[in-house]
Amino acid sequence: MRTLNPIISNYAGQVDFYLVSFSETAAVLDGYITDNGYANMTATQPVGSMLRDLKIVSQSSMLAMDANGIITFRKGYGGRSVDFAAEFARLTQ
Amino acid sequence: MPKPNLIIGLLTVGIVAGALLTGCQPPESPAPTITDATATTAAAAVAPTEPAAAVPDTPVSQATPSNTVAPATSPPSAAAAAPSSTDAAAAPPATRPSAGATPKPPTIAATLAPPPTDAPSATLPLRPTDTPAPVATTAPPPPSAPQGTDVGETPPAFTMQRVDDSPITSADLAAAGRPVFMMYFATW
Repeated sequence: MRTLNPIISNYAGQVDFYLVSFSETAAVLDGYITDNGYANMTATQPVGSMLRDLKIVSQSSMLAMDANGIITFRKGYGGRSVDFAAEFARLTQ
Repeated sequence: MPKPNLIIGLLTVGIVAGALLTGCQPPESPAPTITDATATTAAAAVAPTEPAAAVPDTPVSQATPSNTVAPATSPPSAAAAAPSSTDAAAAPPATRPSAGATPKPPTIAATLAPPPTDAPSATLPLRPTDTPAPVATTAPPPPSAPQGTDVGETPPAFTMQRVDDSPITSADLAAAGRPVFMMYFATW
């Protein structure tokens, strides 16, 4: 999150960033965002079978969709490092 | 010796009686043939409608060739209305006038049609110098992608909920028209 925060701030208004709770309420995430001084994030919690439908099986998973609603990026927990700056730049092209 | 007035009266009575017996046809007017479209139409209008099954018993239908359908549309009363017609039995069906039929009288629509005028048309003619109408341009539809959860696919519909319990649907995200980045997070 500390790595993502400055990048998200650079794309404020161009990319909508949602922090989705994996196992807690949106209120808990919202408090976390406030306590750490993060900006341009919207805390949410999944409704219904959202996690199962999107095949989100672990926390710290990431999913990006372009303006047409097509998935352009997907990553689970751990694994390869991601160049978030390049990923956001590609999203806004 | 009979009086001249009596002779004239008897002749008049005889003429009137003869006219009545011959179907009130004035002797000086030519009797319409069965092929006359006007005459057959008038006869059909005057003649009562009879079932087609009763027609074959009439002498007209007996004399009609087998390849004609005249009895169906020309009842016996129609033939009786034109007794001077000698070829009534061999005539084609009344609904199909022969080639020698008299010209059809003008219809009411043709009679009421306004006479042609030389006034210019209300529509303006196209000029060669007119520029073509601009083609309506619309935004191209978004590229279609199969539904799925992998890169290059469209995810299934989903719903999230904000802190204030207001929902955010995938349709809302698509309507916003901006890229979306979601991180599934846990604070523990």
